[in-house]
Amino acid sequence: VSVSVATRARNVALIDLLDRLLQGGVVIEGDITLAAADVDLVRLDLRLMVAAIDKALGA
Amino acid sequence: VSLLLYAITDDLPRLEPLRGVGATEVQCVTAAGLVVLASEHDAIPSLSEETMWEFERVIESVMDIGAVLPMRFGTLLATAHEVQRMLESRRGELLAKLARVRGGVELSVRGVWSQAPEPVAAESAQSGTDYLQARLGAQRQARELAERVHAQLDGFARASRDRILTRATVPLSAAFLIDRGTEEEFVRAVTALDAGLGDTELVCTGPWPPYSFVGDSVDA
Repeated sequence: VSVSVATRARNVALIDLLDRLLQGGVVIEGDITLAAADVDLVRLDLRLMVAAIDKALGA
Repeated sequence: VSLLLYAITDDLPRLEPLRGVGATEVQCVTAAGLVVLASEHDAIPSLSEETMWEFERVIESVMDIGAVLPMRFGTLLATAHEVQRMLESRRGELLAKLARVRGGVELSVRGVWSQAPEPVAAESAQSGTDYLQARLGAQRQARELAERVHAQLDGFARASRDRILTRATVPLSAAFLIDRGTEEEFVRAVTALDAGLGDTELVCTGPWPPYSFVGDSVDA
């Protein structure tokens, strides 16, 4: 068993930040100018980033 | 040019000049006793490790001063006037949310398995039935972990949120809203809990702005 209590340890915290930025926060319905193309771009970035995090964490 | 929104607060923050995503200048838009921090962009900034931390830093600098409602990343409004209209039309709801998170910070508790329960990890399942059974087993283990985590940690928190099995090796992504100043106590409880969890590792990060406690579905 190992404990990882990370406060602002960036590579450890990155996935927690990613989850929060994309699924948390206040949402303004109907007013977000998120074009379909942008959404796809975000998803692509997301896949690349998650892969990089997996590598960094050795998961 | 549109405005990228970072956070809503009800204190006019006395801030040092702030730089946001892409080193843009952060400005305050005020209406109805509320303040929005925003910066000018032609389009939604693409998501990268750098832009994520630039966004987060702006919110953290407000969080150190007063209650803050972080925005979902990628929220753009066309003009300051639209921002003001939004503040006016949602004033009651936003004030209620600010009251809920005031004096609090968010801690993340993530459960991590060193590997996914077989054969979920790969598409190596012998059959659809094997796959389904492994998947159900993983869900059951993840829910059991969530129950243990909440049994030990809910007493330290005002509120909590869960997401189960967001990825094959992440059985639990939990968020706890705790009183500012009780972080060390909370982390000690996480550490004690982790010691009894065998192969499951708990990773605790924070303090975060209360991203997980400002959504529309939040109950008081």
